[in-house]
Amino acid sequence: MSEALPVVLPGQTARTMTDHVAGVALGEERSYLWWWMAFLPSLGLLGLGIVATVWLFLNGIQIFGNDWPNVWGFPIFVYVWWIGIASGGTFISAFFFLTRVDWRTSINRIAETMTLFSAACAGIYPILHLGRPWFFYWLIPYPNTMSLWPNFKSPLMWDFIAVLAYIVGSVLFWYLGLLPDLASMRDRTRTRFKQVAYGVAALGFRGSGTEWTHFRAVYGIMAAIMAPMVCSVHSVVGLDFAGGNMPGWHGTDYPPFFVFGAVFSGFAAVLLLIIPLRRFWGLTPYITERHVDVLCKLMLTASLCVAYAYMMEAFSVFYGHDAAEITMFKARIGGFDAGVYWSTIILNCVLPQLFWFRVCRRWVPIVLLVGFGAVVGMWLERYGIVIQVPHKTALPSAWGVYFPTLWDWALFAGTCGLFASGFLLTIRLVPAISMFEMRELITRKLAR
Amino acid sequence: MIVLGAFESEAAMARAVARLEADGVHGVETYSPTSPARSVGRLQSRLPLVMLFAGLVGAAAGLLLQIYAVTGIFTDSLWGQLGGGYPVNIGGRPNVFWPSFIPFGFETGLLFAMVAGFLGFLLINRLPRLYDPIDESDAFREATRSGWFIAIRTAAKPNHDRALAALQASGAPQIEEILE
Repeated sequence: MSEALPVVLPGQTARTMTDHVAGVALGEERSYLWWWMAFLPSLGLLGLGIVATVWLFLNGIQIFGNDWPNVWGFPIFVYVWWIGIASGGTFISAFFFLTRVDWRTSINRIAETMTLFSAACAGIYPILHLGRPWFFYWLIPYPNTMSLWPNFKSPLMWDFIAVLAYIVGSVLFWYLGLLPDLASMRDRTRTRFKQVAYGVAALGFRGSGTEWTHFRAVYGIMAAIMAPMVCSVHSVVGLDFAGGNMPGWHGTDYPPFFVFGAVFSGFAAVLLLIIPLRRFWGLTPYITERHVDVLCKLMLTASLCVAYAYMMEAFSVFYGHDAAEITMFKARIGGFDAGVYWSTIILNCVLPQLFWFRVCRRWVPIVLLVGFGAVVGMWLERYGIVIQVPHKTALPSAWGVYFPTLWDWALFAGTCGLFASGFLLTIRLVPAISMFEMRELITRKLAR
Repeated sequence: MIVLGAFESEAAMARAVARLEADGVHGVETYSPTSPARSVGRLQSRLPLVMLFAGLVGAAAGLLLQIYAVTGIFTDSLWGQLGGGYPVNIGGRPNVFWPSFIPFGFETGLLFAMVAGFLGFLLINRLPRLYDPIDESDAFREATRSGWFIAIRTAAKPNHDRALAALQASGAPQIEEILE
């Protein structure tokens, strides 16, 4: 069983682990070739995204495929997809901190960094999608000469504050957990510039008993705040849809349905990130097969939750017996783009069942395939919800179809570039593993 | 003056801390690469209470803001002109329909608690503090890797001598004196 797989390979001490992990971030590895090979194309994609954004600002959202009945189109479904991936990272770092599992320590930094940049991608999409993005601050409630207030009773307003709180909270949680490691970096490096840079970033954390006491208390409470917050954020995203009177969206199952999908894609994304990182930077002693195994099992669990949600979605359509909903659902499962629905089912519900078998959880190509399938599958699921459902509204005269334009794809590629370049840059400059928690784990294990 | 003692392990440091506390030495502080099992003087952090308070204030502020926005109550003349009193009828529900106000109030509460926790952590530890005389010790760099340290900060000379003697008696393998 998995108990046989250790979370840290034997032979590691606090000293060797710190030197290795800090060394990677300080540029002491033999080769960073793979990093450049990943980073430069990411920058290229980011550049494409900047071009698309400039073009968008010049021409307005007519450059997108958005038109009635699909007024949300690509920007909103990709936003939902990104915020979902972010949720998985917070789930690992906050929820599993509270449950005190030992495998969380090695992967929480990677998971949180992933959260930061996918939340950033999610954060910019709704703003870019506004017809007049320079007025986005009208969502902020402030006394103004127009005597206007945002509509606090709208899920879209809840979404704004939820995503804002989530991004601020994620940054603070990530940065607080990074302070002791930045201090380690400051004390390891020998070049003046890096000493100053890491020293300023560490804010003068020195590991005094007082600092640790307050650190432990605040970090624990922050984790206890982030865990319900991540559920609330994605529930509110679900309410964005459920709040509208659209056949197929107007259901009470939406908040948990969205949370299940979010953690499913998030676990898959963490898996896709740790497998290359542990290999290329030799982090295998700390990110072991145990972590891959555990994440596979989590993915399987989330996949079962998602499958349950899909079943309930189909069930409630026919049980509710609303003619418009049945028409919509039949178009989804048998229409011209039914492939999206069935690919979603295969990638999200069928393929992850391979993880029942230990041999599949241990076989890296299979793990990567299923993980990538889950990320794509969730993308398709969001496509189905945001794009396909409104094709068949309650009013047949408003029916229509949607096709994304080249600029839709360009901006989507741009957010992928923003995510990848931001993630790679961060994970290159800060320790990829939470060193102070690893030291605690290693010393505790040695003492036992 | 700072007297700095280096220890090989947490257990050795903890024994020395217990001894120094029993001797009644003042100004003792530990420095360690991970959180020690117990801190000097069994310090308890009050920051969780601060975060709870900030969270409640944030949630209350969020709820009151929404009630103010739709009704315009608690307004003076100036504020009454600038804002307030913007009723919105959603589905024929009452103007002050508190269940609709929960998500916004919940999120502002969490946001306030997070920000208060982070700022409180900086304030209570007097961070950022980029320089400390203790940094003059080269050995002290180990405190963020695998070294366990006890520092005794003393103002007057007699106290310093007493602290040095106490640290020696506590069994620190290496002792360093740093001028402040």
